[in-house]
Amino acid sequence: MQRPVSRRHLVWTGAAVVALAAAAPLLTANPYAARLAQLLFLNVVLASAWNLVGGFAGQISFGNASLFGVGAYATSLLWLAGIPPVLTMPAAALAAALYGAAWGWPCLRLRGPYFAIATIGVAEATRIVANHIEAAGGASGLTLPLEQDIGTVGLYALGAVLAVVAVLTCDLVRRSRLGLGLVALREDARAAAASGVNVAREQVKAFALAAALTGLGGAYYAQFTLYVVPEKVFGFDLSISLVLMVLVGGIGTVSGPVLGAVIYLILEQFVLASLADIHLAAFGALLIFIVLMEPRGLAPRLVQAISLIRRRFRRPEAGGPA
Amino acid sequence: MKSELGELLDARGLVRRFGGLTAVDRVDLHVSEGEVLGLIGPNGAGKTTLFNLLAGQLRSDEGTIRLLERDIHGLPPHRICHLGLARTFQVPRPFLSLSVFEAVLVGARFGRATPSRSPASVTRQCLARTGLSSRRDDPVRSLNLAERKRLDLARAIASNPRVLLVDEAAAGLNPAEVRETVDLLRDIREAGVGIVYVEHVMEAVLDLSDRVQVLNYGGTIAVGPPDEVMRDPRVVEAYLGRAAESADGGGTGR
Repeated sequence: MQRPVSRRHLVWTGAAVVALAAAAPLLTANPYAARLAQLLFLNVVLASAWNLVGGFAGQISFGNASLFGVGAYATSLLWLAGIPPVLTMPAAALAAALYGAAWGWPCLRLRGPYFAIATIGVAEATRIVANHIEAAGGASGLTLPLEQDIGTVGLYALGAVLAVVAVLTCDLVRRSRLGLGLVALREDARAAAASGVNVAREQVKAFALAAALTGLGGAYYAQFTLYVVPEKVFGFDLSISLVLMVLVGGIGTVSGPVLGAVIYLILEQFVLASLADIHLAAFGALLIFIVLMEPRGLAPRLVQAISLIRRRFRRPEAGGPA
Repeated sequence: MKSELGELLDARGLVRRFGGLTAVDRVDLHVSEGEVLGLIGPNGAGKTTLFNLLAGQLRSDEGTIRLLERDIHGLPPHRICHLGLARTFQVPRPFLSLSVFEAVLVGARFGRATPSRSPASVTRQCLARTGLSSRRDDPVRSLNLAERKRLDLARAIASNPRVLLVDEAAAGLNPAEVRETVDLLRDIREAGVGIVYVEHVMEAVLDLSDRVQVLNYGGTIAVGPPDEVMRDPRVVEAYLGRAAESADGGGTGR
């Protein structure tokens, strides 16, 4: 049995923190680089959160924007009420977790395509309702005060912390009792239930946790865009992009969402520069290619390649006639 | 109606209908500590449906089920597992992407807790009892049928059951593997677990069972010591059919 927090975690977390700190001057040098870093951190958080339920429990959600939007609005409203934005983040996480648990509880009783369709329904309903809540700015959204901004470096640090926390959460869950139950019920819900797994409860737990992380992502988004509008934060595009990232990177793995987030950002920026808004189509084409060629995503293949290289470096003479 | 001492599972008057078909028809069933009840009958007799009723996968239309004096009728499967009833599946339902160790750990971590033992140590012991220790780090998908059947048993006993429902643990195995399975079930019974054993491999079920209950068309047609039951004319008829000219009901299709 692995210990929940191992030395491996400390080493990797330490390495990630050092690398992110070292990259900070470069990624805060100009507004464009800063925005890229913010979007990357955001994608890593959201994709990792999606993977907790989509990857481990095999329940594909097309509705995570509903959780993201709740987080973004919670922070924005509290911020406009005078609370410093960073301090509103626990409230954003809590609001999203409660909302996620509230609709996850009934919807997670469905499995496969039935669950996926239900998530679309909930998210679209949420978006439409949000468009009509005048107290939250209605369809024109909320514009946030520029003067309380925590600054480019502050946003970079906040995003980096959130991304590391999200990836670490993914890995801890994978090794925990919860993660074991999730994978078991993904593989065979009936056998898992017969082994004592409370299928409904374990899924709701994971979904509430994913919702909390997604809500934090929304809270972060509000702080760097300073503008929150239902069509964007509750938008279907956002939900779809998370599914694409994780499928391309590697579903059910810890590194997959990170890799998918990076690839998505590169592709988005690359295509946006020439042909605005066809990045989803480009990403869709990439997805089809990957599903055909590498159904488990790119991360497992990358891990394989790295371990191959490491082995070669460790024992250069052990190969024999090669 | 009070059950006798040592009685672990006591089901009475179970009925389950699927549309016009009565798959289980007023069946009584009980098993005591350290007892093996063999449950036999032709294909379609209702054995697996009966298991699904006892383990909570299906709800019975009529009847009562008591596990350790407690009414479990209508409880969900995971609750019934926590209360001490585990089952295996006719077609093993392993968790393919997990390792052998992890698959058994599911039972140990989520089933009925084993007092003062860690789930990992319970898992190691269950792997040793089922002869799977050497495969512990292999993926479940690499196991063959006999190994998957043993894995299913290991997962079930890892949840520390008082009653174990075993669905065709010997089917499709070669004679040596059947013997291993019988020995394993005997070992589990020695520990005081009450076993209900559905099996088509007669040598296994007759060898192991203290009592045998025969189902046909959803109802019990005989129950008692194995040798006595196998001589019962109704049982012989259920398995071999009646003389050809007899015309009530059309026989069992053999």
